[in-house]
Amino acid sequence: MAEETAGKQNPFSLWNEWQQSLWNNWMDMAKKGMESGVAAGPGIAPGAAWGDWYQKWLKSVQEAWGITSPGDGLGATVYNRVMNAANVYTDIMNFWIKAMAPLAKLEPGVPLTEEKIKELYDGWVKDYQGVMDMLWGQFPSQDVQELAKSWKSATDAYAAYTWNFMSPVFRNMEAMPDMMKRAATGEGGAAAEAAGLFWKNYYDTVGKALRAPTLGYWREFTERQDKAVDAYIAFNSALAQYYALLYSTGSQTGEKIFKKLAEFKDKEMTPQTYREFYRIWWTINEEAYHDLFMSEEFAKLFQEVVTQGMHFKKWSDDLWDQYIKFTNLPSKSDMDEIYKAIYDLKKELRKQKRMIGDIEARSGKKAARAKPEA
Amino acid sequence: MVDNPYEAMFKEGLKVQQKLLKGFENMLQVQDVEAGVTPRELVYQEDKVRLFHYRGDSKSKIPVPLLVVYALVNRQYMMDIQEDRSMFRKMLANGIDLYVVDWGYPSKMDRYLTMEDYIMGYLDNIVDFVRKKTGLKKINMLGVCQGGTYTAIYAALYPEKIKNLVVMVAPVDFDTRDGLLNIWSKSMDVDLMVDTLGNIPGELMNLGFLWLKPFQLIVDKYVGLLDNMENPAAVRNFLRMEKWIFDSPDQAGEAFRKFIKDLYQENKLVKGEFTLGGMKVDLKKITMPVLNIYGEQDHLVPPSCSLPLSKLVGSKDVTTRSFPLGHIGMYVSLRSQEELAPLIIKWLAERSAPQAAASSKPKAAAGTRRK
Repeated sequence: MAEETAGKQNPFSLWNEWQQSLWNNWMDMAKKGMESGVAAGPGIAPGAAWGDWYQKWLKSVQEAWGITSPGDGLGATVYNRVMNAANVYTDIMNFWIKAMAPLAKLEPGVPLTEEKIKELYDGWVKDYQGVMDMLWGQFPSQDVQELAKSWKSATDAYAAYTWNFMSPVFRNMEAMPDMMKRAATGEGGAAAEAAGLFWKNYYDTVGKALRAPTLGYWREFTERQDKAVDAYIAFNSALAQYYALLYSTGSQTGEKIFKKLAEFKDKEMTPQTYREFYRIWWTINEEAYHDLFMSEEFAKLFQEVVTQGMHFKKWSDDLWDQYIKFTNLPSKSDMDEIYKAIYDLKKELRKQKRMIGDIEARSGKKAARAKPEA
Repeated sequence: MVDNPYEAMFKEGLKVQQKLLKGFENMLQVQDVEAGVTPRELVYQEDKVRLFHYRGDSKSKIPVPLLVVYALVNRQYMMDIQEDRSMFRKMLANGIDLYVVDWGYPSKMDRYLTMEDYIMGYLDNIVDFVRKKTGLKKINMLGVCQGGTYTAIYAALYPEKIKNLVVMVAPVDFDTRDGLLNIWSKSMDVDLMVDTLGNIPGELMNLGFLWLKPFQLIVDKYVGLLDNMENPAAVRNFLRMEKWIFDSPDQAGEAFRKFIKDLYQENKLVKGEFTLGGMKVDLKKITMPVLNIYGEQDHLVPPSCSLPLSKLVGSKDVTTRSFPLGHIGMYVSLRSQEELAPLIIKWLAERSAPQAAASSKPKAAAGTRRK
């Protein structure tokens, strides 16, 4: 009995060994995955170790179970299909890892041009189609495979459309590094320009969609809604540029304050109290902002903020009028009509009163007032 | 130079904290701040516009009443902010029979009120009321800031109703780069603003005024309060000013539109192109004595805005005086009490000899009625 038992392996021992093997493989996998995820750098795509994680895990399970080769037959075929079905997820994950890899390989400091982005984009589209081919190509049905081929050609069209939609963003962003450099050297307008890039990107892409005419039963309402959203974004964009200009002035003022303090230090006149420092701080700031406010640049930006704000308010009010139309509440335009009518009536009343007064004065007597009978 | 600057700064910080704590205690004691301290009586009202007759203890020595016309953008009680800083009290104490216009707080219903309504309507009716009440053909007028512009326009349209004209810090020539308001309003799309907002909110006007001197008005003013927070009277005075500064009525849309477009942007008044109610406003028709007062440090209405009136009027008796004060200082500073108010009183007294009474029914002067 003991000899028979010794040859056949104790099930508890087997289970323990399997658990231990699974645990060791799992820890090993996790460690390698974390290392690759954290250490991503030039030439190393983040998360690369996770790509073949499933296959390694499956292999370790099979080894633990002693399954080196499933064999032939229906059972084996079903087993393979079940186990390999999960490959679809790792294939998709590998696609994303591969898609991100070119970004990791980019040289730091080299500007990303529209052409380079197009190259990356075309590569991704091709890889994506490859993944789709792999997924759908395995399906046994001929019809579905034909469908998959049609879908592949459709993705080319979609990819081209998406590129045309998004390419203005990449084109506009080419100017960003120069703007950031100029802003960092203290050029006031550069910060506002950089903030304005968002508006430019929006205007050439999503903005076009919002400004385009709409169709259908809710056409009027939808157009108003789109215009209100467009106006909101325009307003916030103008505000961002405005604040960027104020911020850059503040930064320059900070430098002036430090220079002033350095001058005082040279003359051995450093501020001794908070109050003295505060006086230096606010007078320099007041001067700097006054100069800014006197400039044409500020006046234009200020005007732009006010104008965009008014547009947003106008479209927002218009939208509210549409919402209120479905209730029994008077809208803003209803009230404006009433106010205008009251104003005109009051004016007419005053005019009539004055005319009556003039007539009474000319005739030399007051008009007889009707008195109630006693 | 102190021996240990860190010790000095630490002590300063402690001192400030002690002041703050005492100051908070004082602020918690304040229940409400009253502003506009001189007794008055409501004698006339038309829509939201009211006329108050101020009562003093002294009898009226100057036989011609004075009608004070303040700006629409702020409240008139600035000139009567507290007992020891009240131009109204000073005038009453020196025998002036004082009437003050209160333009009220325009609501959305007033968005269609025009400059014509204000000047040729409300103001003309008020002048006629005072004339009838006092039995005089002509009265004295004092216009302050935007009220001064309105008064000057009124005096040009109805010179027969004005005995003497005083304008204080009143913008007349708007084509200058000396003031930020003048620069900013040049590019303002006022049509879009009025069409969108209707009335221009007082809060928006306040924001604009604060932005003229942001650090002084948003930071330094409150830092200055720290120095006086232990003094309850000083805290109350500060709170009165604070109440006034942020108590800004909305501006009636159409009146605002014309004021900005015709005056700030196109400067029509000095060019002789300004019309109201179909009538051309010719400043040369201001033939009564004029006292033009301006502030040398006025950042809201710089001297280049208010000074030109002296040369534009047709009067042969024009007195121009300046004070080394800012816009608000002209009403509330010690100097305004000790020098400005006495100047106005003396000037008016010299030119307010008794005059023939008006008929009980004011006659409609030909060509001066609005359509």
